[in-house]
Amino acid sequence: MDILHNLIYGFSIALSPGNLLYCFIGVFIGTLIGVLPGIGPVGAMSLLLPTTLHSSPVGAVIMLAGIYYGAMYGGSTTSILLNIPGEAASVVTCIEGYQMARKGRAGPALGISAFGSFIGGTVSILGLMLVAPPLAEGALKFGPPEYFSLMVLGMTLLIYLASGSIPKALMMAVLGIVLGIIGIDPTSGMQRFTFSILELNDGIGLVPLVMGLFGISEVLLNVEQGLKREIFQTKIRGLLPTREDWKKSTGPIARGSILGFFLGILPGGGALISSFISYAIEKKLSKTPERFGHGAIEGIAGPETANNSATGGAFIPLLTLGIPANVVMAMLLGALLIHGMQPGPMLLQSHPDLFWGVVTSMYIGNGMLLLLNLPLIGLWVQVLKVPYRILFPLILLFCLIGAYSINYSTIDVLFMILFGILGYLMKKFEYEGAPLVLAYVLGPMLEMALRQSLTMSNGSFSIFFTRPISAIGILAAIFLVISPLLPWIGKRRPAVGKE
Amino acid sequence: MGKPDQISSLTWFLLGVAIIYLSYRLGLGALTNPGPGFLPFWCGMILSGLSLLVFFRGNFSRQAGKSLREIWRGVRWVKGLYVVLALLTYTLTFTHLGFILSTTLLLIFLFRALEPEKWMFAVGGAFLTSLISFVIFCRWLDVQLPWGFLEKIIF
Repeated sequence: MDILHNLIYGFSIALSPGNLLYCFIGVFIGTLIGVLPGIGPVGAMSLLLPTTLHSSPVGAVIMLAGIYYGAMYGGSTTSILLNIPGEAASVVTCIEGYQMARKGRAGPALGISAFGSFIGGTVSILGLMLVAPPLAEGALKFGPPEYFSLMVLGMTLLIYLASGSIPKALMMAVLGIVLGIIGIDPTSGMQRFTFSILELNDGIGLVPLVMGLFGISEVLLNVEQGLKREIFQTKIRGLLPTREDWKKSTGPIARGSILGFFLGILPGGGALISSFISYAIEKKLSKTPERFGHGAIEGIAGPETANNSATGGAFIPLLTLGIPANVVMAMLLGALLIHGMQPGPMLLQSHPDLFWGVVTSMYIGNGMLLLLNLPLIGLWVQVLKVPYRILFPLILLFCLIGAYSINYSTIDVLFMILFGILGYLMKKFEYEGAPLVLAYVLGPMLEMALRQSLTMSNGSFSIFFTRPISAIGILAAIFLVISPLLPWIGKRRPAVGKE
Repeated sequence: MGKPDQISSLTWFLLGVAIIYLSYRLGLGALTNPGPGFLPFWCGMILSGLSLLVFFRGNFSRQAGKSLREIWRGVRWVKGLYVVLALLTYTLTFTHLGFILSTTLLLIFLFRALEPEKWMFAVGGAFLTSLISFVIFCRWLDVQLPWGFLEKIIF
C-alpha cells in the first residue's frame, strides 16, 4: 500500500505542467542527441545543466534523466540507418541493425529497438521502485569505511572495463581525484592547488570540465576528420515487427531487462556494458549463432532492452547511497549538489518528492519516447541529413553559453576550452575521460570518507578489512586491479568502458 | 624520441612530481588525522609511478610503432587549431563586444572555416542564430548575457 501511495504522490508531482514540460524537453533533446553522433548524453547534460539552475531540483533531475534514457532510444536510429552509433551504448546495435537495414528491414529493426527500450525501461523503473526504498534503509547503517570502499570499487570497475590500457585509465582516475579536490579544503580551510586564482577557491566547475572533455574535444576531433555521413537510402516501411520477429525477440527482451537492471546498479556498470554483455549472451544462447553479424533481430532486441534497463538500475546507488554508478550519474549528482541536495540514504526521507517524482516521470518519459521514436522517425532521418559543418558551430555556441552562465565568468569558459584541448589530446594519446570525470565527482567524498575512517580507527587501515561490506568492496577492487596480470582472466577483459 | 606513449607519460610524470611536491608543502598530517596534502600526495605518487610504467611499456603498446607525427597524419588538424583560436579570441572579447556582436563574428568564422559556406548564408545565418540564441537564453532562460559597448549606445 505504501508503494501505491507513494506512486500516486509521485504522479501528482510528475504530472504537474512544469515537470511534464521538463520531461518532454529532456526526452526530446535526449533523442535528438542520441540520433546525432558526436555529442553523447554526458555532453548534452552538461550543455543543459546551466539551464536547470533556474528550475526546481525535481524539474532539473527529471529533465537530465530524460536526456539520459532518451539518448538510449535515439542512439539506435543512427546505428541502424548510418552504421554510426549515436552514442556509445548503441555500438552493438550497429552490428545487426545496419545489416537488417541493408536487407530492407530497417523498419522492424527500429520498431523492435523502440519496443525493447520501452519494456526494458519500464521493468527497470519497477525495479527501482521496489529495490531503492529498502536499500536506502539498509544504507543508513553504512559508515565512512563502507562508502570509501564502494567508491573505490566503482572507480576500479570502470577502470577495469576501460577499452584501452588499465594503467592509463588509473592515471586518469587519480588525476580526476586531484582535480576534484582543488579549492579550499573543508577540514583545514587551506587553499589547495589554487595558485592564488580566486575563481579556483570553489574548485573547478563540473560543467566546464565535462563540456570541455566531452563536448569541445569531440568537435575538435570531428572537425579535423571531416565527418561525412551517408544515410542508407531505403524507404522505411512497416515499423511494427512481425509475429516471427516478436517470437525471436521475446526471450532477449526478457533477459535484457533483468541483466541491464542489475548491471546498471553496479558502480562502474551502465548501459554500455549491459548492451555488450546482452549481445554476447544472445549469441551464445542462439541455436543459429551464424546469423549474428548478418541481421539477427535478437542482436538488437536484447542489447537495446538492456541499455535502457540499465538506466533505471543506475539510479539506485545514486539516490540511495549518493554514489554515482557511472559518468552520467556523476553528472546528476553534480546537478543535485548544485541545487543544494545531498543524495544518500536520507534523500528518500527528506525529499520524497524528488525520488517519487523522478521515478514516475520515468514511466511518463518512456511512454513519450515510444511515441516520439516511432511516428517521428521521418523527422529524425531529416535531422541526420543536417551537415556537420552547420551543426558544430551550434554545439560550440551552446557550450560557450552554458559554461559562461554558471557564474557569469569568462574564466569558466577558458577552463572549458583548456579541458577541451586536454580532452582532444587525451583521445589522441588514447587516455579515457570517463574515469577522470567519475573520480573528479567522487574525489571530495572519497577524501572525506578516508579521513573519517582513519580518524575512527586511530590511523589503522585495518578498519577497511574488519567491516564486512567494506572488506568485500576493497578486496573486489584489489582483485580487479591485479586480474589483468592473471593470464586466464587478463585476456578475457571485456573491452568496454567509454560512456 | 617520438613515441606517443613515452611523450605523454613523461608529461604525466612531471605533473605527478609537481603534485607530490605541492602536496608535501600542504602537509601530510598523521595517519590518525590526515592533512590536506595526504590524499593528493599519494595520488601524485600513483600518477608518477604509473607514468613510468607506461613510459617503459611504450615500446609494446598499440602506439609503439607510431611516431608523434603519425597521430596527426591524414587529418586536418589545422582546422581544429583555427577553432581553438577562434574560441579563445571570442572568450577574450566577449564582454567587450557583447554577446550578439561577438557571437555573430564567431559564427561567421566557423561557418567559413571548415567547408566554406556562401558569405550570404554565413553572415545571415550567424546573425540570426545570435539573435535567436539571445532571445532564448537571455529573455526566456534568464541568463545574463553582456551587451558590451552597445550598452552605452542603446541604454
